[in-house]
Amino acid sequence: MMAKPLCATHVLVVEDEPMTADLLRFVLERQGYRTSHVVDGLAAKAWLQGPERVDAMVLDLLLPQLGGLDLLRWLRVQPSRALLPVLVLSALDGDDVAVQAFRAGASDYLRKPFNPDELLARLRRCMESPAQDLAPAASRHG
Amino acid sequence: MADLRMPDVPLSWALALAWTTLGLVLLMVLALWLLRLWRLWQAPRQARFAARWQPLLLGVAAGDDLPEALPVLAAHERWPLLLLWLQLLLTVEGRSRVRLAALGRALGLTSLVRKRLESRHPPERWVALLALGALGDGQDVPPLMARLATAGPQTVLYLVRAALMLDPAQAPAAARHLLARSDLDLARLSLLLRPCAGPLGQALRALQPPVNSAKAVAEVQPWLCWLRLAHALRQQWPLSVLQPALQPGLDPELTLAALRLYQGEAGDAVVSAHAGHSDWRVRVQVARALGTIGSPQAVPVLLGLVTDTQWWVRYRAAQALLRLPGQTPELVLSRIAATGDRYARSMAEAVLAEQQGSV
Amino acid sequence: MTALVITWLMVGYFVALHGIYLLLTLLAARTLLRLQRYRPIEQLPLAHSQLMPPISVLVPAYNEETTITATVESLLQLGYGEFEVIVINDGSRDQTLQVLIERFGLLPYPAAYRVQIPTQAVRGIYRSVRYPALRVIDKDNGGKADSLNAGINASRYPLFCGVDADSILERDSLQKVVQPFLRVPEMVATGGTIRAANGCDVRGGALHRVELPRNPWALLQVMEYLRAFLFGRLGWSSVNAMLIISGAFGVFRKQTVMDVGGYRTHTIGEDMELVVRIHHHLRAQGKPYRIEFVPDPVCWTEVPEDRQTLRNQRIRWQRGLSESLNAHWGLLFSRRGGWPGWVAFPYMVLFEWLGPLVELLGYLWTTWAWWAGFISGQAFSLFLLVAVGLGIVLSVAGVLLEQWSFRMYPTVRQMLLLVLAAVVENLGYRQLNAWWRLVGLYRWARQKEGSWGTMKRKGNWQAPG
Repeated sequence: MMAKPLCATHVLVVEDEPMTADLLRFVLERQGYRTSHVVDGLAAKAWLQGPERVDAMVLDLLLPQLGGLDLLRWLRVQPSRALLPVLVLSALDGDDVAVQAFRAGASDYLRKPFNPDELLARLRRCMESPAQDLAPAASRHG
Repeated sequence: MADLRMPDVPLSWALALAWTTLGLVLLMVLALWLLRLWRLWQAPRQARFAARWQPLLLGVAAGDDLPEALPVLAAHERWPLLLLWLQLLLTVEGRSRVRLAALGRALGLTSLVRKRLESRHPPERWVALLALGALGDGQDVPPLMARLATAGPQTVLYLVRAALMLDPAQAPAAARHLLARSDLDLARLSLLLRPCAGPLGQALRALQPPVNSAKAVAEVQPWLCWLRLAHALRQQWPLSVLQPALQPGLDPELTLAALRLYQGEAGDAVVSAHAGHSDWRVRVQVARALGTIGSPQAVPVLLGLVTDTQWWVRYRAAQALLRLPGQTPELVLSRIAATGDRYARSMAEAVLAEQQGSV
Repeated sequence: MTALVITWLMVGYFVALHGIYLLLTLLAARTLLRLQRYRPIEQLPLAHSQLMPPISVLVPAYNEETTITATVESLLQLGYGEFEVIVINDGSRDQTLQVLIERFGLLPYPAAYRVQIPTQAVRGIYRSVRYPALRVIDKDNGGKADSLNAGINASRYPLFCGVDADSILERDSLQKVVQPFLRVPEMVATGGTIRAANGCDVRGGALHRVELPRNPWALLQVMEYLRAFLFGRLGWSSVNAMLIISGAFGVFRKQTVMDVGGYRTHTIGEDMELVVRIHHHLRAQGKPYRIEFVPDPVCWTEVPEDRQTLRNQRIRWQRGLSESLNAHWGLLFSRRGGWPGWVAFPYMVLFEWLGPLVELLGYLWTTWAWWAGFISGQAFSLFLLVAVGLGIVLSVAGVLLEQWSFRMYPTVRQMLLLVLAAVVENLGYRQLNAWWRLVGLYRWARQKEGSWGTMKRKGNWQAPG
C-alpha cells in the first residue's frame, strides 16, 4: 500500500485552446490539485519524458504537432508512465472517437462541451481506481 | 508646326507630385506608427480587462454563486465581455451553463444581445444568436421563428439553434423549414444543431415523406433531403423507418443515405441484400452497417465483401469482421485466409495493425 | 516634340499600372474589412465537424528525401475531419520512396482505379499500415503536372488540394481554404496565401514563430509577395477574376479539373495554365462559378535567397505566364468573358506579359532622352515620380494593410525593415525583375529549353523534355 504523497496531486493539462485550458486549470486548482500546462503534443511528450512526477493527465485530442491519440499510444508503452491515469477530452463529434480513445489507452473519455463537476468526478475515479495496464493489446503480449 | 508643339511638363506638376508622393509615404508611415501605438495601448487594457473578468467568469462556471457586487461594466466593454462570456459558455454544459447564463443576465448582456440581433454584419448577428440561446426567454422565440423564411443558409442554422434552446417545442416547425431548404451546409448544421439534435430529430422523424402502395419511396428527392438531414443530426433510426428507402433497385444515392443512417441491431438481411450493389459506396455502407448490427449471419456476406475490388469496401469489411462479437483476431484471420484472397488477408492485417497503432 | 509624347505615353503606362494596383488594394482592403468581422465567431470553440467535405491532399515529390517525412507528418496532423494524403513519387533518383516506406510502414497494395487523365506509367501504389489516410504512388518521371494528374486519378474525394513538397501548412489551413466551398456552392477552386518561410522558426515541418528573413533577397520577396500575391490576388478574387492559384497550395473541385482535362504536362506554369483554362472553359459554357482567394496566411515556403535562383525562378514564371496566355487567347475579349476576359486577361497581357518590355524601354528611353536633352528635367522627374514614387506609395500601403489585417510582423524593427524593403523594392528590385521577365519573354519567344535552374538547398524539378 503506497503512502499518500505529501505534496498536492499533480495534474498535467494538455490543451491548446486557451479558454478551455484556463477553465481546466482553474477547476483543478480549486480542487486543490497542482497543475502544469502544455499546449501541443510534442511539448507534452518532452514533458513526460522528463523527471517530473505527475499523478494524472487531462488530454485534448486535437493538438498541434502530435495528436492526442498518438501521444496516448506512445505513453502506454513508456515504462515509467504506462499506468498514468489519462482523462481524454475531445471536441470531435465522430462516432468512433470514444472507441479509438479507449483502444489507445484512455482511462476515461469526456466530450466537449463538458460539465466541470463531471470532469472532476471522473478524474478522481481514474486516480483512485487500481492501476491497470492500459497498453494496447499487441504491445502487451510483446 | 508651332501649334502642334506640346507644352513641356510644368515644374509645378512635378513638384506637386513629388510632395504628394512624399506626403503619402510619410502619412502611411505615421499611420503604421499610430497603429502600433494603439495596439501597445490596447494590450495592457485588454490584459486588465481579462484579469478583472476572467476569474469571475471561471469562478461562476466552476460552481461559485453570483457575487452580490458585480464589477462595473463600461459601455465599450460590453461586447468584448460578451465574446469572453460566450467562449466560456460554449466550453461548458450542465449547471455551469445555467450559472453562466444567470451571470450574463445579471450583467445586462441580454439587452446588448437583442440589439445586436439587428446588426448589419452577419457575424455579429450570429454571435448574438448564439448568446441569445442562453440569455433569452420565451418572448424572443416568435421573432426568431418568423425570420426563418427569409434567412440565409448560415443564419438559419443560428436562428434554429437559438429558438430551440429557448423553446424545444418549436422543433416541428423548425424541422419543416429545414427540410424545405436546399441550400443547407450539412457540416455546419451538424455542428451548430448538436445541442438540439434530440428534439429536432424526433420532430424530423414525424415528417417522414410519403411511401407508395408498395411500401417503397414515392419520390426520391424528399426522401433524400430527409435522410441526409437525419444523418447530419446523428439520428439513429430503426429499420422500420428506413425500410422504404432500402428496397432494392432504388436510386443509389437514396440507398446510400439510408444505409449511412443505419446503426441498428437487426435487419442484416435487408442490408445484406445490397452487398452486390454496383456502386462501391453502397457496398462500403453495407460493410459498415453489418459491423454495427453484429449478427453472426453477416460473416459470409462480409467475407465476400472483404475480397471486393474496391479498397474502401475491403477496409470497412475487415473492420466489421473484427468488430463482430465473438470474433477474435485469430479467428477472423483464419477465415479470411480460407478465402484464398491475399489482398483480403493483407487488408485484415493492416486493419489490425492500425487498431493497435504505433507512434 | 515626339520625345515628350513618348514620355507621356510611358507616364501613362505607369499611371495605369499603379492605378490598377491601387484599385486592387482598395478592393482587397474592403474584403479584409469584411473578413475581419468574422474573427470573433471563428474564435469560438465550436467543435470540429467530421462532416466537412473530404479532401485529397496531393503532394508531388521529386528528390525530396531530406524533407518529405517532415512534410508528410505535418500534413497527417492537419486539423481536418476526413482527408487523405497522396504522395506522388515522380521517379525520384534518391531515397525518397525508401524513406517513406520506412517511416510510415508502407506496403504495396493492388489498386483498381480508372485512369481518367493519361500520365506516365505508374510503377506501384503503397498504402501505410499505420496511417490509413496515407498513400504513395510511385511512377515514372513526368514532371509536376503529370504527378498531379496521377494523384487526381487515384484520389477518392470530390475535392483535391495540391501542395508542394516543401509547403509548410498551418493546422487549420485546410479548414480555412475550404471555407469558400461551404459558403458558395458554385466554388470550383480556392487559392491560399503563400508567405515566405525564410527566417521563420520551423520545427518538424510546422511553423513555430514568424520572423523576417535576414537575407536581403528574401526580404524583398516578402514585400513583393505582400503587394502582388496577397493584395493583388485578393483584389482580383473579389471580382472573380483571379487567374492564378499557386501550385504551393490550392484546392480544386476534382470534377471541374477532370472536365477541362487535368493539368497540362509539358507546360512550365501548369498552375496558372489550369486556372486560366478553367475560366476559359466555364465562361464559354456560361456556367456560374467562382474562384476565390483566401487571404489568411495558410502556406509557408522557402523563397530563393540568391540572385541566380531567383533569376531562374522569375524567368520560369514569365515563360509559364506566356504559355498560359498563349494557350487561351480565346478568353480575351470573348463574348461571355466577364471580368476575367475583359479586365484580368488584358491586364495580364499588357502589364504582366508585355509589361517588362514597356517598363524597361521606359526607363532606358527617358533616361537617354533627358541626358541627350530631348526632354526637360521636369518631364524626367515626373516620369520617375510616377514610375518609382507611386510604386513606393503602393508598397508602403501594402505594409500598412498587412499590419492592420494579419500583423505577422508586429515589432518596430520588423515594421521599419518592411518599409525599407518597400522603398528598395521600387529602387532597383522591380527593375531587375522586369529585366529577368524580359529574358523569360525572350526565351519563350525563342522556344529555348532553358533549364529550370537549381535551388541551392535541395532537389529540384526537371523540366519535361
